[in-house]
Amino acid sequence: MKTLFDLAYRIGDIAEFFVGIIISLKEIGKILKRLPYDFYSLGVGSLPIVLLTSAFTGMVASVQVAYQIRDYAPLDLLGAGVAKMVMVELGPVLTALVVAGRIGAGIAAELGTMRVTEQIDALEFMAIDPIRYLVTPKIITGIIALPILTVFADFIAILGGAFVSRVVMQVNYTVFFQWIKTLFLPLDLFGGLIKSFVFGFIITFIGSYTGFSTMGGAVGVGKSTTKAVVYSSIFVLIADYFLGVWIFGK
Amino acid sequence: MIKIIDLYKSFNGKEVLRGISLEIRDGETLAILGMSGTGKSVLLKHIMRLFKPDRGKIYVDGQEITGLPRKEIYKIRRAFGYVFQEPALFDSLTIYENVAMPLVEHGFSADKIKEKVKWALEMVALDGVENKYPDELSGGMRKRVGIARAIVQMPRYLIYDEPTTGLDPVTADKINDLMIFLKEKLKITSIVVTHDIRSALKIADRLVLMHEGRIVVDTTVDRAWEEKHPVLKEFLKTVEK
Repeated sequence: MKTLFDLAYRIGDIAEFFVGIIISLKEIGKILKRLPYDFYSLGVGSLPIVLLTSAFTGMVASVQVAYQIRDYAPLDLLGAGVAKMVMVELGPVLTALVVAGRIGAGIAAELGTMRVTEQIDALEFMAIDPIRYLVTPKIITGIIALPILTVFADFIAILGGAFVSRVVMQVNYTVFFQWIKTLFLPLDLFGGLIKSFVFGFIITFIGSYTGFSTMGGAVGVGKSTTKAVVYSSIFVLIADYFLGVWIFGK
Repeated sequence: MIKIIDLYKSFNGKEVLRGISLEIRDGETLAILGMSGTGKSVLLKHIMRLFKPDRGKIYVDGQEITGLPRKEIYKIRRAFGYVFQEPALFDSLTIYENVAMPLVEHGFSADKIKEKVKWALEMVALDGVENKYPDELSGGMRKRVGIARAIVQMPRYLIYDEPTTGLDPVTADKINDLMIFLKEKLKITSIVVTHDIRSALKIADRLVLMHEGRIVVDTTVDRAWEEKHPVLKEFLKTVEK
């Protein structure tokens, strides 16, 4: 009974937090002023790690695609296989998971620390809506920055894949990119970006909510940070399945 | 004037406030004394309407605030300045930006902000720290910055939550002197929650003792020594008359 009550309370609390974000959009002018700060720290700051992981993702994708198709299809098709794999699945999901570890944890730690040191209460007492000031800019940053990061990740992953295809599988660059162009479908790219848009919301929303609801000092901040990463990753993967079915399952 | 009538609040079945009734008159400094866990800070957070009571009413300048929507509450809050026990300054902002924050957010012009921040920092006797960050200042200086941020909008009510806790006696006394100076200079109504009886006796006009969620003593500073309540006697034992 207590568990059910706690669950109902939690759902109500999350819904109230979400409604708070929607209401805060009324002050969009003030929110936009905060965007450059969040965009720089969350978006631009994530670029190096996203580029590094995506380069290796593309390289390993190239090896894996070659291994899968070598008995059934010419390796000339490698480029198309790598590009589709990266744009549809690997780019959006791995970028989201990397960003969940970096941004999700960062947001939860920042807001959690602000909660336990009463900085969020201080905003309330100065008649400044803390959701509008702290949360909504981060959510907007998330849903804008993640698709942009994913485009960079896709690009670098495909370059990584092309490099390995050339060096290891001796597929030259012209053939690699020619087949990408021939078999390219806009849905591959835009479907992946729609996923990134949703993942951006999931990561920043969960990071913000767990940070905002932190209780109990430094230990509480640690717990919130862990929760943010774990829940973001789980919900990204769950959303990936449903979005995959919706976008590509027809 | 702030008027609290029969306020009750429980958390997880534990009653923290049990029928608090209190009047805070314009211009006075009221010290709310009590041991840890007696509900002092919870009472303050009700006055600021961060918490909603289970029962009872709170009037600020004649307006009942317990049922007000968020937007109206924000209007009421602009009449208050709040000084936190730990000053709750924003680590990533300079001292200037910290003090200026409420003004920036409430749409004051750049010139007005500059003028008001300068005034507020002068009031708390801080000079040359505008470009420093909170972690570059001592505890006493951070407390002063917290006070500067609280007064920068010229509030009618100033609430201090444990203003001298964690400070050495010399710095604590300087903060006491600052509170007296602000009271005389700005004529602000002040509410000070503390368990520092020395500070309470120095700065307050009136003392209220909270014990187990109730107000058990309400007296003037001069008459505090005549009170019979054992907890107040314990507090007074630690200071000379």
